[in-house]
Amino acid sequence: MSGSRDAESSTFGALADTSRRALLRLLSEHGELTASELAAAFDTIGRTAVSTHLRVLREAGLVCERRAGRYRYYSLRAQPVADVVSFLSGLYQGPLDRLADAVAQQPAAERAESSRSA
Amino acid sequence: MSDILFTSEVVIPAPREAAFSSFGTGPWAGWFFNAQFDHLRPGALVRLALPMGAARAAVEGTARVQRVIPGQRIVLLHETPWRGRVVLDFAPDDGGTRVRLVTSVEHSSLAPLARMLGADLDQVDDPDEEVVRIGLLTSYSGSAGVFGRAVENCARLAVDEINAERGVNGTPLRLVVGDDATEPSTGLRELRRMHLRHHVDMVIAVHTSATLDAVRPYARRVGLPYFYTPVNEGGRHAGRLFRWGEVPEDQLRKAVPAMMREHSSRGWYVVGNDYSWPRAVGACARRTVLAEGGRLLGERYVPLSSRDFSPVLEEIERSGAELVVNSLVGGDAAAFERQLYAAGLRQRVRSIGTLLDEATREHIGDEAAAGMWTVLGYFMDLPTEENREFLRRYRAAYGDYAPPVSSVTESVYEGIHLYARAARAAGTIEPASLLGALPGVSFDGPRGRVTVTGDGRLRQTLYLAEAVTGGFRIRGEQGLVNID
Repeated sequence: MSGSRDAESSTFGALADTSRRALLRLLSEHGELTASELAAAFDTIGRTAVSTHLRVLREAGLVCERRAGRYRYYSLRAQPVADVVSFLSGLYQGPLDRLADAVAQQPAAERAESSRSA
Repeated sequence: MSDILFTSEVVIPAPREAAFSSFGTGPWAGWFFNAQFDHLRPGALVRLALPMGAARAAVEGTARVQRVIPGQRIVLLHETPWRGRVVLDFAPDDGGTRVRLVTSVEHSSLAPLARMLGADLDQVDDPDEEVVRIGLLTSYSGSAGVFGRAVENCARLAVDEINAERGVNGTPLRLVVGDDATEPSTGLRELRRMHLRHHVDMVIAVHTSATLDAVRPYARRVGLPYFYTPVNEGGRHAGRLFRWGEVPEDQLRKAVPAMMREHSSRGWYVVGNDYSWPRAVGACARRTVLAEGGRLLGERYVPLSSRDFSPVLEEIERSGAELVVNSLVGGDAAAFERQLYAAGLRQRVRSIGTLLDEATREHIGDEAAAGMWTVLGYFMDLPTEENREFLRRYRAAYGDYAPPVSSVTESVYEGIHLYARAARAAGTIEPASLLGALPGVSFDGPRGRVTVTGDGRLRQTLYLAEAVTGGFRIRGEQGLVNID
């Protein structure tokens, strides 16, 4: 993490790629699919690329993998991520609400006073 | 992997200077997670209270000031319990001030955050993958949370260095991190997760010995090599458990008589948290003080996460003690010493902190910590070429404002290197062979040469030091400990 970044709405690197978004869409439609079933849905990217995207999604905690026999099944794991994001979004709104409340509770004359003494 | 971004803003009917200076001071102080700091300047530590929702207690977190533009902007780096960056902007807006918060939380913090919230984001690793999994169990919140970030940084540095030299016998190392939040039961849950889902091959640990007591039976049952590297109550290795840090006997043996001489005082008071290690320090202090002709005037053990020490301070004043052995942990030690200083007792009462390292000293603050004593095996102020080189690599990897390292946190760096050397010597990470190859393995690093002894302890040099502004003044070398 370094440098400054434009303030945008919440976004994930894992979601920045169109193929990965397509994979998530497929998984949300079908529940659970194997890597080859997922790869079959794409003409533009190959099996290896699909595996790489699945790994990124898995590392991002967005997708989980289940092994059964010689197959690996993939499914969505979006809910906990959404929960964390919504927790953080509420958490970082809190301070500004507290500041606004604290200022509102202090009469205007004192406000000017606290700016002079600060 | 990219971070998650949040922006929010509010316009308040107050001038910009008032809004800016309300960060941590003045009548509106506290609005930003109750931020507390000694000086608002780059590199300064900021302590935060992070509310974890209605059902959970607030968590003590730490951040560091990265940048300050007076009146306009403050940039903070979150250090614990999660990593991220917060930019606070103050801009004039129609007679008032627009306060804007731009926060990014690091992607790698998502899974730990989910666990803190009681959810589960963890994948299961492939047990057949050709990789050596180094389990790191430490604390990112609670009293010992002051250590976690630097512990992880030091562990990662060792892993990266070993991987740059073809790993262990050609197999790369991977770090798997667990957080006990200074709670023994959480520590056990985390150890099980690291073992069952991530198949860790060993555990290197910096947490309280209360957590160690809780995880030991599980680690023993599943046969995990366990390297506990911070200060501890001592003892030879037990099965696959190795305790490599400083022990009270070695820390107090020279410090107790030295402090009695220097401060012309004989009356001692012992304060610590209420679990095994501080009680072992207390027992050792009792023996050492009596043997040196001193008097023990009081002894008190308080629960972890204690923050109000006024009853203890009153008792110290009443007892007439002028010397204190402080074996409180992290945030507790900081609260005690800050309150002792604020009560005007520092001139009369001198403490030795058996866990007073760079992280704890920083939490106590320059002014309140000045004059405290400690005995440990590593200080950032050690004037050796190896240490300078280590700190250069640490800062190159984690930035100029990375948290300070210390004997407590840096101990995992040597620990992982020693493990890798034993694995190379044994030609395998199979525990019985690897641990059999440990005695005699040594490593020349930031704290000088460390060597595993025949009975599985660590031979290292200890230093007597005094807290000063910005760090420690090394008063003397106490010589090697654990010589066979």
